[in-house]
Amino acid sequence: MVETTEETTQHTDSDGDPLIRVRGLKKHFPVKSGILNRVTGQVQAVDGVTLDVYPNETVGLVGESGCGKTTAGRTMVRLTDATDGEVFYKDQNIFDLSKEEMRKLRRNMQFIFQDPQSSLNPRMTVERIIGEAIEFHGIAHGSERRDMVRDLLERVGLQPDYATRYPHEFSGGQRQRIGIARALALNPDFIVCDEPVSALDVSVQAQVINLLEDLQEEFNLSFLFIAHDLSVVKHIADRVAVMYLGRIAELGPTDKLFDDPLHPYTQSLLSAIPDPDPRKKKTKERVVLEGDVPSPIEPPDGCRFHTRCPARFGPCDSVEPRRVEVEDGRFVRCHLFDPEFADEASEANLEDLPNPPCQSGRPVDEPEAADGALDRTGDDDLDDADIDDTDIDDVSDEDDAQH
Amino acid sequence: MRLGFTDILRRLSPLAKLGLGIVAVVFLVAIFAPWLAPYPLGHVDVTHQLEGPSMAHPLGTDENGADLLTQVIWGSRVAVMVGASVVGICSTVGITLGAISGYFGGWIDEVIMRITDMLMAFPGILLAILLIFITQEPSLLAVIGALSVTGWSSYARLVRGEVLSEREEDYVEAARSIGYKSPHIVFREVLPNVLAPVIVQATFGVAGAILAEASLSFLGLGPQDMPSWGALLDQGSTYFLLTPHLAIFPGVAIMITILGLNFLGDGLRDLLDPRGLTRHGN
Repeated sequence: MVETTEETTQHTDSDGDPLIRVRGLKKHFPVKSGILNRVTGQVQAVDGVTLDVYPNETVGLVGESGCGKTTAGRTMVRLTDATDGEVFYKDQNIFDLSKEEMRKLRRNMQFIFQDPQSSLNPRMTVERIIGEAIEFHGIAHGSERRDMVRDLLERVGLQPDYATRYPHEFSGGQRQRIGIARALALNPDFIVCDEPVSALDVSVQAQVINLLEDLQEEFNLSFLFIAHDLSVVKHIADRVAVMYLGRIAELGPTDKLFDDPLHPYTQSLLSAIPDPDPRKKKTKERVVLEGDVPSPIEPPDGCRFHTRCPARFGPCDSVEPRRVEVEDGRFVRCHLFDPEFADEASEANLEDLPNPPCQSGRPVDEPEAADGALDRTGDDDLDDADIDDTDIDDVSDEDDAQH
Repeated sequence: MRLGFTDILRRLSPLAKLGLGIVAVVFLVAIFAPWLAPYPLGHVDVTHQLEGPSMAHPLGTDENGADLLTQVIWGSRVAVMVGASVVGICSTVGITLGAISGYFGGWIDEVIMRITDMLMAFPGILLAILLIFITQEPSLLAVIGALSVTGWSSYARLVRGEVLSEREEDYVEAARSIGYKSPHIVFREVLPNVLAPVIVQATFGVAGAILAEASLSFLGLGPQDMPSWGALLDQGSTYFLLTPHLAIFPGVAIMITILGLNFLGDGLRDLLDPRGLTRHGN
């Protein structure tokens, strides 16, 4: 189960090099118990995540709570050190940097927090909250700094004279805007947005999402957008990664992933999106998963999803699925799409599945590397692929057609 | 919730305001003692020994004929000096060590907390007596030092607990994502958020220190060159049956001051620390 994490530079696509390359990222937390406080286990919060983020792109990272999304995001900007794996900012592995070098690099990698209540220091004015970062990195001082703070507040849709107020004087949405202004203050290229809207009212969510999209265009930002709300991700993300128990189950362009989910876990996730049209008959079949997410301390052998998977067959409980590229830019970690198990998969009685596998992909790894890093996470034809604003209906239509 | 100084003043309960008034009076009396005292310190009137209250001597005189009111007024200086310095030293040391302990954790936390355990397992006053006994020279400094050595531990405990919960807040992470170093985060970002319960504890701490000083003085271990309420109480107790006022007035001075501080502390706790985590202590 050793992930090879070699850096590969095979990029034939026209999008240019990725801004962030994550290779086999792992973050384990030791579990201590007993009077001797010995390490008795590891919470494998993130266990081999490989992902690219291209300039000006938004990658959505979705999954149930506890699947390691937030830890993955925090590790990717080195708010916590990784257990294993690499994260490259341009060509620099951020885990190779000294503390001082990392401090300088933080200008380029910022973080927007989930809870705007807790992410702003209650004892500081907005001016100080935003201005300190500017000051710390020597971007501006004195009145220049003050002007910058006011300018930033205006850009995120707040009045400049709010600068003298304290966080408790603002609403949740306004506070999140302050958090966004703080992240923008250093003019970063890459921002990890850790569920930036899940603590907000639905009406405010839309405003903040639109603000993020506008800012992305204006400042040329790349986002890793962590969320559990699929409709938000569908709206904002160019590509989506679906995480389950510390691993990425499926990764692909947003429209394709939502129209035609491959991994059984993705299928069940998407089937849980409620249909907003009450006139429609309830033809959409919901894949209801049994049981709970297994403990990340002792994840199941083989495929991590096999304990709950409606499509499990032969190798699932023993063999770790490889990452398979089913079509250009669509990656899946599931034996159903692995040519090696194609015969077994077709023998297994899988017709009951709402979305039976019809394609077989090619493994991304060399055959001898049992479970290795991928050469690319590819989104070659991202620009060509017409990313319409597909809405939720499309998903159910697809399902309707099949039943 | 953030409260400014004037907000706190306005919201204090009437009892706490009374307490604040008492504390302010004691403080002012201590500062202006030389001008308020009717007689210079050390002035004795051998013709009026052990006299009860009179126009010339509102609180009477002691066995040397010295004016008791003068001594009680000067005694407030010792009380204020001991209270302020002990709490100042204890809170500074305790806050610093507690913040380090809580924020960094690990072995440093273990070391600091075991030291506080040891200090808290000991009756503070006993250790202070021992320390003054060792220095062989009872003085104001010795008293302050002895009470400070043991007193910081409760502040360290309190601050550690607060920092432990506060460091999980996202703004700490946000400060790290900007690139701040740990000392900045601990002392500039986190500390201002944990000070409210410390202020409450410090108020009770002043009362505790004044009482401890009075106890030490009563035992003859207080400052020898200035009148202290505890020492006055001690002297008065010798003639208690003959002239009870000699013991009663210094005792009342102690009682009123402590009462004022406790009223103030309770009021502040209701405002700043509604969880009531703090306990009386020095």
